[in-house]
Amino acid sequence: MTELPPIAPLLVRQVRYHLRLLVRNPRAMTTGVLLPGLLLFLRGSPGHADEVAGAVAGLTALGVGMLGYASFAASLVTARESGVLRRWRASPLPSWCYFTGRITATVVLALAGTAITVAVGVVEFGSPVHDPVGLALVIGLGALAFAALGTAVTRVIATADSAQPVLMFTYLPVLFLSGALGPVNGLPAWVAGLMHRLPPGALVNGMSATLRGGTLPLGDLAVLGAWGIGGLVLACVVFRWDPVPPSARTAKTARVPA
Amino acid sequence: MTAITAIDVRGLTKRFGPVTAVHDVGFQVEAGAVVAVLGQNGAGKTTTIEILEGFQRADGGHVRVLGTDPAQADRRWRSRIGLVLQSTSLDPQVTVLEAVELHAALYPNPRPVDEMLAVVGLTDDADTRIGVLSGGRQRRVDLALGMVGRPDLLFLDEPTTGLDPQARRSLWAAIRELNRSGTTILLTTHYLDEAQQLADRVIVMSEGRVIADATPDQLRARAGGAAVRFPLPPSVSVPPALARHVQDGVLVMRGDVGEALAAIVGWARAQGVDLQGLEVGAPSLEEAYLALTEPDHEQADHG
Repeated sequence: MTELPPIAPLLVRQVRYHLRLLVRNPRAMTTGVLLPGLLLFLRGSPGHADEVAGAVAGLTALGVGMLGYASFAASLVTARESGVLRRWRASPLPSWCYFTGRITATVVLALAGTAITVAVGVVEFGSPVHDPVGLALVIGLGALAFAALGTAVTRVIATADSAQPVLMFTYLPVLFLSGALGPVNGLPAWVAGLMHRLPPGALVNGMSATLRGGTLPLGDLAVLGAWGIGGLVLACVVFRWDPVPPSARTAKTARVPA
Repeated sequence: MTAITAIDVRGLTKRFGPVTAVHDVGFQVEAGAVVAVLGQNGAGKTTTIEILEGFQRADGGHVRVLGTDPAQADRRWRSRIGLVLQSTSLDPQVTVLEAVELHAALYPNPRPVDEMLAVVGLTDDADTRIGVLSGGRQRRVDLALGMVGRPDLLFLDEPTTGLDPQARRSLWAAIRELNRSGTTILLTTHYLDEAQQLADRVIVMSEGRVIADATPDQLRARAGGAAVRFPLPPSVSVPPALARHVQDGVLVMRGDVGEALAAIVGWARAQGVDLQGLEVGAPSLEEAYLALTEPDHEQADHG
């Protein structure tokens, strides 16, 4: 019998394929990669170095979340709706390779988007970049956490059309309350504390720390890692491969055969 | 080692809550055959095929596809199966060549990508993004992805729905070519001419059961002998002796062909009716199929 092709080259091909899909996806490229840098460029000088680092971190978190969570989940729903996921499931490619490729490509592009935003910060406002390796670690883990949660959340999204509202309402308020888009005053202490333990808050904090200097933000990395692992486990349990049948879209009833 | 029976289904049952979608279904498909599964929407075709493809679990019965229970499908088994799903399932952002190369790499012994593109007539579209292709061309990409791994068994779910006649014919040619190279094909379709064109055998399902399993010719013969058909021109009146044979504006007479022709020709001469459109022949597969699946042919269970 002829041997099945080895997995490693297939994985590389998957990463390249998903990178290609992302680069050719205007939603991912604009909101996830280019918009944060543009917003930073437009906002004018944030002030002294710490404030610059905060602004860079906040807008980068906006982009990483848009790319890793919102756009990731929306295109996963589209792939499910259009039968693309079913085709992959029917192919000899192990499912984990598909998702590993997809998530890895998202992490790579998130790093590229971060590089652009940070470059704008450095060139325009002289942003500090103290620990680039730590920064990459925070962004990589953050994008992974977002993508894992984005995979899990597709369970409750019925159609591609309903993806944006669900994703925006679960992401933007959290991002806002995390202070990523500017200082938020008068939050109850427990809300502020909670925000530090959610991915956007940990991402902004961890990123600010690596830009400004100081020790590696292990606490924030732990939060992001925990959400990443939790999201992946949840995704494995709840993920649905097939489109939600029209009969089940409004009332969440048992599946009825077509 | 190679199983001579590509698909072996016995006593297959699948329930969705209170609904039994597939009820004690059994059939075999020998390796190398082209078999069409026909039936109305809701007849249980899709559920049956999805169980054979390993997408759904059976509630009961024995299912072997290429000697394996699809519920236990592994990579090796998947590499021997090809799938063309009911609707196109492609990423619009990649080019034809990129998609076919990506899928070819998954299989132990894929067809050369150039050759594959030539077979489905997409050589000139190799560098075109799939999203800008016409529906017919996208369907060819689907077919190429299903065929590129040289599958032993190909599932084709309504492969030509929505295509223009030329596109259908060229897809049929590609499917026949694949079958000649040894691939077993299980096809679902709503087009009886497609079944007639491609299939060695036709399985008709209705209300979750197999109600016929025969060659197209056998099915046609079963629906009665030859018939004379004459689509009536508008505003032509028919004498009572002939009027009882009129269905939906078509005069259809079965039984003795000579007698039927004599009756029609006599009437047409007397009335000066132009007999253009008159046909003599065995019932079409479509007529045979409709006769099988008409409600009054089914056992009444409206209790």
